[in-house]
Amino acid sequence: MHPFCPHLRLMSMNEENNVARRDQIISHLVSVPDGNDDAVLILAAMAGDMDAFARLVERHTERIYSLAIRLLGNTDEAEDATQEAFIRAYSHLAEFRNTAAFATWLYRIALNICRDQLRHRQTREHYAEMWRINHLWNNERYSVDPEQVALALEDRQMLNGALAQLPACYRATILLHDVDGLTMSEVATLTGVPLPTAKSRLRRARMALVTLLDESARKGDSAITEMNPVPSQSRILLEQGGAN
Amino acid sequence: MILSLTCQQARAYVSDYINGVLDQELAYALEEHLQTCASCPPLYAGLIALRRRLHELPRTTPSSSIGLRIAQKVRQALSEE
Repeated sequence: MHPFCPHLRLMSMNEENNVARRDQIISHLVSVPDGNDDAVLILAAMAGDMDAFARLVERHTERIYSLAIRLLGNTDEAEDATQEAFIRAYSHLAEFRNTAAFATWLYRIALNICRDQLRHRQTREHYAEMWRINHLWNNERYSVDPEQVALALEDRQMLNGALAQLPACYRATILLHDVDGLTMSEVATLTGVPLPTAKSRLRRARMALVTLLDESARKGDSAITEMNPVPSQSRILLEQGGAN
Repeated sequence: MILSLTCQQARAYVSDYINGVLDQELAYALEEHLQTCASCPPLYAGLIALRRRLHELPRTTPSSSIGLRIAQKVRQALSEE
């Protein structure tokens, strides 16, 4: 509790550490430019100079957009989130105090917008699909054909299609870790969940993609089989009834 | 003595194993399981192929024109408010 304003809750040491850690990760992800160059523009924008704010937007857009696309995985939504971040920053410019950390302040705003979008994008269908796949992997007789998975992986359309079927928070986790190379601790901080949750999302996202790619490739196989009846090489042990 | 894992346990640990962060004893147990199980090795091969492919994907970098485009959009949105 704040000593003079009881309705204000002070940040605990742990929360402060989390904020500091998050800002450190953001700075690492995007090379934060020298804040001194921003100071004049910020003061002018605070006085109502729209041209000055437009120059700030141009200076920081690429970095904010990079962060948004990492988290959202979709160019249109990343662009909308970037735009929203600047509009929100402009509305709250009077609350901004430390000109040297403008970039980090802006990234925090963008991060919150992206997280909100991730939460809103979860659908029951996405989760039902994850549940179905999890159920498959819990069956010891379930397996896939790795050759089919490898073939599907070479088809960018199939890979994008499979990624699109993941709930947004799972997609963000696997893209940040397996494509962008962030550590799981960094992914957890950026997506705002504890490390074990981030690790569980990564595991499930990987499992889901393998299953979805195997299924996509087999659907492709069946279309070819109709035209050219060659026996399927599928090794789906679940269907064959043989397993460990 | 090496632990014996069920398929369900092996599949729960395999993501950490791929990341190289699985406890050594469990890693040995998982490797042992993969040598004797019929259904888990293809899943493991699929996971490895997936990870390799995702590593190869280019990182998304915005085009240089995006700054200007978004600046225009923001300016328009703010002038409408």
